[in-house]
Amino acid sequence: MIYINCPHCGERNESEFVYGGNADRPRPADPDELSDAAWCDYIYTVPNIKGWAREFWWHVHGCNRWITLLRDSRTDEVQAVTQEADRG
Amino acid sequence: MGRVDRSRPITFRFNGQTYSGFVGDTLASALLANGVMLVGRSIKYHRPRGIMSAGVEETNAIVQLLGDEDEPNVVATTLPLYQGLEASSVNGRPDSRFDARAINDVLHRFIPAGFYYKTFMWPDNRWDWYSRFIRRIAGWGTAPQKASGGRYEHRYHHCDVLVVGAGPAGLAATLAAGRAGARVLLVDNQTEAGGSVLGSSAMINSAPAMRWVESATTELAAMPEVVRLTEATAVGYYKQNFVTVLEQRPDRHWLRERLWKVRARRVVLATGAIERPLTFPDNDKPGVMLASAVTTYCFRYGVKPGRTAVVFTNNNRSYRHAIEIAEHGIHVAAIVDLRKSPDTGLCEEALARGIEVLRSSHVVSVKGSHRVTGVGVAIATDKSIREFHCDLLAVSGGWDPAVHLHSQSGGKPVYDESIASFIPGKSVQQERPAGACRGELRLAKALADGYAAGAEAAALCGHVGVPVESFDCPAEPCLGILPVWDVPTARKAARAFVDFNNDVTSKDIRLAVREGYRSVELVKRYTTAGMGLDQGKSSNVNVIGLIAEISATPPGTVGTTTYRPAYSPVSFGAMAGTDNGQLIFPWRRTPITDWFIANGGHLDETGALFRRPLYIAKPKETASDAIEREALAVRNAAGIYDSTPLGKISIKGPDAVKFLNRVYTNAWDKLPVGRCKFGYMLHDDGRLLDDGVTFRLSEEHYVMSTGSGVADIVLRHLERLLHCEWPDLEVYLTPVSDQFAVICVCGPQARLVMQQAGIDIDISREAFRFFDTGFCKVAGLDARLSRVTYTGELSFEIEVPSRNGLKLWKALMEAGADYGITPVGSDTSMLLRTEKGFIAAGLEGDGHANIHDVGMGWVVASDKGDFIGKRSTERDINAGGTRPQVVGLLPQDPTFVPPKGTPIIEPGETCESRESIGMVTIGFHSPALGYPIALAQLSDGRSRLGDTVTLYTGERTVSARVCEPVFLDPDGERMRS
Repeated sequence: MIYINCPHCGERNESEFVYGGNADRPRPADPDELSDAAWCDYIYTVPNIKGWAREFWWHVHGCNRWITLLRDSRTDEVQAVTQEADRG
Repeated sequence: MGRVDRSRPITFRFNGQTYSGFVGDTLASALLANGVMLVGRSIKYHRPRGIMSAGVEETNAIVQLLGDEDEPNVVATTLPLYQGLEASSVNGRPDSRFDARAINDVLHRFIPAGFYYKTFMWPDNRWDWYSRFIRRIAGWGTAPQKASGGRYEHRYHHCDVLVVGAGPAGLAATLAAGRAGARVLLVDNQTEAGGSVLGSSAMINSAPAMRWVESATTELAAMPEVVRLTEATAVGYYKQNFVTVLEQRPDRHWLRERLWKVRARRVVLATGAIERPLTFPDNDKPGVMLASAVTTYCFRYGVKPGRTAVVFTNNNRSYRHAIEIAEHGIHVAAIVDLRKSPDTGLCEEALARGIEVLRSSHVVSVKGSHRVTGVGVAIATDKSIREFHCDLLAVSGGWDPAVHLHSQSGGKPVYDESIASFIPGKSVQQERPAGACRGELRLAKALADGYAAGAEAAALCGHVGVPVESFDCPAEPCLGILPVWDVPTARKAARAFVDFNNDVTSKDIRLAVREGYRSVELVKRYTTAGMGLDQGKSSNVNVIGLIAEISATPPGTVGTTTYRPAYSPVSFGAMAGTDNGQLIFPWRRTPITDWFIANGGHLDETGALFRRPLYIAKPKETASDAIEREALAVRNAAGIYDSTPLGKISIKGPDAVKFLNRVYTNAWDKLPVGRCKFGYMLHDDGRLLDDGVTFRLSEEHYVMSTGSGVADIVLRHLERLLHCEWPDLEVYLTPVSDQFAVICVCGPQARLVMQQAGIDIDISREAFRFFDTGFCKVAGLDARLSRVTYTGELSFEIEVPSRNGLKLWKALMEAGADYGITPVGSDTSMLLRTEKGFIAAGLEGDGHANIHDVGMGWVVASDKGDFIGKRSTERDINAGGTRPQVVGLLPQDPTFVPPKGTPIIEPGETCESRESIGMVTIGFHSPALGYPIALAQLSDGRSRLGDTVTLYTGERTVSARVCEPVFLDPDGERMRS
């Protein structure tokens, strides 16, 4: 059970959150432009990063906000930021 | 004598005999006090076994609790005695004195390590067959037959410093951290603090050590920020200093166990060290006991485990134990020391007490069958053998720091030559070992180390200013250990046990290494050494040392196995806590649920934790009769249905239309206020996620209804899109499923029922059309009225705040009495939608189906731009081909109603050559039509319309005609009426 430092609520148990996928794979702006192969790659190839990754998490049993989480998949060291801050 | 309370006697039963003990005893100490040493049989060879230790490392004294506390595999050395305790040995039939299966002991040569793998795997993996017999012979206790009568709970705790272990180092650490003002949790698995000094004559600051322990606990009790738990074992160390602590028997009357979930900023591991046995022939006979355990029984429990003892050791620490044993009135015949030159000071001390010291010597034989009666000792200096009469053989093979939690936290234990064992390596988490846990076995140093660790932990949490403290103890020599991993023997048939719990001998380890196993992890799995109830607490290091010796590698290179939670066994009850029965699966209710219960509703779980009536039966009515009656009422008169469980999401904001266009397949720009329509929602890979009606209440306010089972999933899907993909859209989602009750009145008489109940708007066919929605008053209650249907009949759906739900239901029941209004359950509702061929997203859309498969390709708007699932829907592979498509089926046998899941095969195929081309998703006998109907997923089904297929029931085959998936009113005249 890792701790996630919600920028709105403080440190909370991971069980309060829902994982929302990798944050570095935005949905393609115009899917029609993509080949079948490129589209299938977006849909089916889920990145499995060793090391630091940017992820979306939903604090569903807390502030109900989506946050961006930097997580080291090797150590589960995490660093959370608001989506607003993440976008700059 | 001892720390038991002799003024409070207790009676208990063991293997059918009644005994007495005292408050403060463990079951083991009470048995020893009654002269019971033989407590069970070993698992494989059924050898007689006695009490070996005085703690959590016990491998022999495993008992089954009987009576109300029916519990298998309880360790007698850690079980506090209580009035009325009843226990029995786990192995040994008919009893532990005479065991018929002790024949295994004679046949031991034929059942070596890996025997099961080598013998029972042929022919053709017959293990399943063999295992039925083996399970009956092997194994420990029996599983309880009834639910645990005790209560269990979980509790969260947050602290600055968690100290594990209330021995000298742990107490000192807690004192330091507590004095600095830190918030400390101190946990210890014993009934009282003191750890190693509970069973010794040690001195601290010129007074008995227990006096210091008492003053420390008194000081701690006065600190408001310090919490101390007894009989509480830290069993698991997880990520980010999350530690689980199992507290046993916190309250005999109402709570059996409490599992603490502790989040600590710093952890001090003062878990101590565990004495390990020596590996020599017949080292498992009852009467062979760890040297420290003998002193613990003497000092802590006031019990003499024997009359005459021989001490067999390879280190200096046992001399202190031998002297203590002698002081306690047990005659110590000799100290048998494997080393050539033990500490001279200690030798003199022993000799002064009349204890003979035999150097360079070892035990070669242990006499006695059910109890040690004597030992033979080989003396290397003059190659002689000497015999000693004794009923107790106190052994010590060294000390193993309890590195388990350190290893669980991610650390890698390292080998320390000076104690010939493993100590914690580099800390990975915010953790620091202290005292004997990091190999500091001498009392004064352990105390100082603990105090420093506590002060450091507190300082790292911002609490500084710990007063200086010094600990003064009599000087102790170093351990001076000579590691001997397998004491030499000349007898070929002799067996020396390494893991007593699983009957693994040093020969088994040698065999495994000879057969090519070098990794300790593989030797462990092949021989099962360290895989018993004690999880290798007493055997792990002996196994590692032996592998190292045989393969001529340093023990540090062999390394340890990975220690995993739990440190000691955790009951299922403690894991579940209060998440039990109704509490693990609480039912959701609608405002109408109680009415259904009172009026014959047959309730069952229908998804999303709702219990809904499947049908509402009249007295003595069968299920099928009730469903038929309800269905005919809807088709011919009026039905009333509780639709409250449907999910409801309020969607607000200037970009709401844009948002709906992107999440649904169809176009939403033209939907005016006061209207609603059906939408299909896809995943981006084209699979059907949900279908439902969305209502436009005002310019920027919509309400979406979802399937009751997927309400949460849809909300997550939509929230993720809004926040992570389209943050530029100004749309706000609010789940309002529980805020509103929804009641549906349907059937040809529905309009009359509504008017009878009282409605303040015109609901004629022209004024309030199909798919209209609007606010009004129904039966005097503020409501939102919509004309949507799931039955295909004229329907009015009325939504009111939940608090008015039952009031509305009763008003409508009263108003409809003259029109034959009939409450309808969800089974009936399923039948009605099947007649109409309305798709259920959870049945016909089964998680694989796309929108073409369910026949809804026509609700895809291709001209509105991108939406979720569009790109995938347009891929060729998703349209047509041999994909399963939804069709209707008309079984040709009018008595055959195909159940859900019935496979479909090609006509002409026999049951033997069957290959499924589809599956029935739902089937009913239609009361309105008078014959059976079904919906199905059929491979390439749309092109088979009019064909005949075969339904295969397992017993027989039935032909069915493939038809359009609509059986009644195909033009929808009834619902628009």
